[in-house]
Order: sequence, then C-alpha cells, then structure tokens
Amino acid sequence: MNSNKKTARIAGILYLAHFLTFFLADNGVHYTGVEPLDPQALLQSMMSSEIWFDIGFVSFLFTGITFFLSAWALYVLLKPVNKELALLFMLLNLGGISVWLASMNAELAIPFLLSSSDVMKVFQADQLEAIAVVFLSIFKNGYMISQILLNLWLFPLGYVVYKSGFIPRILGILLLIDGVAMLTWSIQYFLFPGYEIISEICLGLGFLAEGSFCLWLLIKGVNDEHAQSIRKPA
Amino acid sequence: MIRIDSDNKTARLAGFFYLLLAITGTFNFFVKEKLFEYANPEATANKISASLSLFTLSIVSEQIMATVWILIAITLYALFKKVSKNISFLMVSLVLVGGALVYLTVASQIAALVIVKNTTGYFASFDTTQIHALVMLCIDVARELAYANYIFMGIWMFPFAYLVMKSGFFPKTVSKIWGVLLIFGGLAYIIDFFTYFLFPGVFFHLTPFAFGGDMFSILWLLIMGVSHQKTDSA
Repeated sequence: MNSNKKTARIAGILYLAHFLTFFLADNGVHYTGVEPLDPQALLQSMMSSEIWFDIGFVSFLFTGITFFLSAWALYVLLKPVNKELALLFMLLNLGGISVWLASMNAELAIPFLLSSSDVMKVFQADQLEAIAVVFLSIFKNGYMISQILLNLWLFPLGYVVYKSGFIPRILGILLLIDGVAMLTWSIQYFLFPGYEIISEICLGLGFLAEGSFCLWLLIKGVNDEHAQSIRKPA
Repeated sequence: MIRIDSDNKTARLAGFFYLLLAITGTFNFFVKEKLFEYANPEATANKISASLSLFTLSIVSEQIMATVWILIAITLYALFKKVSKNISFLMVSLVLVGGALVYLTVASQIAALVIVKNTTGYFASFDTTQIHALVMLCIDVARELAYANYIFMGIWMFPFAYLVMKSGFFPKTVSKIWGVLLIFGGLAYIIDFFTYFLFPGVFFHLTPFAFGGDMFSILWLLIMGVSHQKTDSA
C-alpha cells in the first residue's frame, strides 16, 4: 500500500496550510518579523480594520494548529525510523504550539482596550494605549519564547529525516541548518537587539529549508519501496 | 477474557471522568451566568465582590474541568490505542493543548479575583469605575479565549469519533449513532468558533445542541461499558 506516500502528502498539505495561514496572518495585522517592536504604529495598523484583526487572529490560530497537525503526520511518517526521536520532535512542537497559542491570549485584550465601546472609556486614551502596548509586548515576547521550542524541534526532525533513507539527505541537513539559524534568531531577539540583519538572513535560510521540505513532501512524497523495507523489520 | 475485563474498567473510568466533566461544567456555566454581565462592568464587579466564595468555586471547578478533560483523553487513549495508536495519540495531544488553554482562561479570572480583593490595597490609586473596567477586561479576555478554545473542544471529537466507529467495542448501530453525534458536536464547536470571531453579528450558536455525543459517551462508557461485538479487532 501507499500509506507512507499518503502520510507524506498529508504532512506536506498541512505544512503548506501552515505557511499560507502564516502569511495571511502576517500581512493582515500580526507582527512576527525581525524588526524591533514599534507598538504605536503596530497598534494603529491592527485597529485600523477590526475585521482584518479578526481574520489575522483566526488565521494565526490555524497557523499554530496546522503546524502541530503536520508535526503529528511527520511523527507517523518517521516513527519507524527512530521512535524516540520522532516522539521528541512531536512533543517539542506540541509544547511550542501551546506557548504560541497561550501568548495569543494577551492579544485578545487589545480590541477591548482600543475599540469604541464605552466599557474602558473610564481610562484616558493614552492610558489605554499604554496598557495595550503592555499586552502587545506580552504577545510578541510569548511568541518569541514559543519559537525557542519550535527551533529545538528541528534538530531531532532534521536528524531523523537525514537517517530515514526515504527523504533526500540534503533536506535533513537543511533542517539542521534551519535549526541553528532559527535559534540564532531567538538569541538575537532577546540578547542582541539592533542586529536584526543577522535574523533577516536566518529567517531567509529557514524559509528556504522548511519551504523545500514542505514542497518535497507535497510533490515528490517519499521513496516508497525504501520506506516499506524500513518498516518491515520494525 | 482478562483483557476484556480490563477494557471495561478503562471504559467505565473514562465514563466516570466524563460525568465529572458534565457536573463541573454545568455548575461552572450557571455560576458564570449568575455573576457575569458582559458590557456592564459595574454590575459584574459588584456581583463578584459580593460573592467571592462562589466565584472562587467557579474558578476551582474550571480547573477541575481542564484536568478531567485531559484525564478523559488519557483514559480513552488507554482504551483505544490498540485500534489506532497514531489516531489515539493525536486525540490526546489535541486535548493537552486545549486543556492548557482552559487553565489559561482560569488565569485571567484569577487576575479579576486579585483586583477585586485588593481594591483598598494596591489598587487604591484607581477610581472605582476604573477598577470595574479592569475586572471586566479580565472576564472578557477569559471569555474570548474560551471561544478561541472552541477549536480544540471541537477538533478532538473527530479522532474520538473515528476510534469509536472503528473499534468494534460497541454494538454497530450504537457506534454509528455515537460517532455521527460526536462529529456533529465537533463541527458545531468549530462553526461557532468562526461565527464568533468572523461574524460577530450572528447570535445563533450550534453548541447548545451539540451535547448528544457527550451524553452518549457518558451513558455508554459509564453504564454499558465495552462489549466487544467483533473480536476480530483484537
């Protein structure tokens, strides 16, 4: 049966959905880039259109969910290669997604603070904006903290892909490089503000690695005879 | 024979947790109905400070709900893992994230509790109306997150339904009706999620009619148990 090929396809489709919802969210109202936080400008763009804020929120939620679902499909696909490491990358992803979704809780407060309803009008406008900036920073930093777990999952993933034999080794190596690059991004964000140029390069690398991995799963699937021969003795 | 007995025990344990979820959930629902008046900060804050112990009990019951939900998923995993380990694992993982988000809604409500308890303490520098607005903000954020969590409250029912229908643990018609009810419940939660965030003007919600699957789960797991209609699943 082609069950491995199917699993690879499913993982690829979910990974692609992850990318698409990510771009939808980011181009709408979210702020996931490398530039340092400019809260005023960001709040303005967030609240300029409430429906875009909602669409951004919903698609960002689905970015997280589809990411986890694709990690699960990859776990199913790669479990025969190395059960422990496959479990490890899936759990790292699960933890990262939980932190990610938790950080979005802070974002939910922003519409209440800045909308036209009367409830919060007992504060002055600049006070409300200050509180909104606090929530925005909690959201942004929570997202960046989740990225640490979502970098770490790339190492076991890259290793298992490298070892698998039914996915090209170069993709495994790319994922390992991706892990280093994304970790550099997190370290730069928290420890070396002002060196965003490093992170630009790292994010480019990450996009290249994960994009090609996603496309490979989607288009080529896996080398099925090889996958079957690994699965058999297990 | 021993295996069937132990399966039965597992099923009844899951049913027992499910019953606990229904009881704490109902209690939590009615306390919230009683205490919270959305868009009326003064009434909400006054009601909360007038019945602090009831509000605390509601917070505790919500924590029990999150815990019990996770326990249900883990028990169901133990029951269904021989049907499909991957799908059972997916179900548990989704509930783990959803459960974590329920705990997070509790955190916002505890923030409201802290504000109400310290109005003459370190919140003394705020006006009474401002304190009311802050309490309302916490309650609103908790509710928004609870609606965002509808995704997870819905999505875990699909693998659950799959396992119920595939397992052969229950009479054929029962598993069919049960599975369909669970799928309907899952869809209802997800549709309500979209309605709430993208079409806030629509007030028709499906979830009040979606408890059929849960009723079935309690009834069948707790009272009828596992009967192994087809032994070929072993």
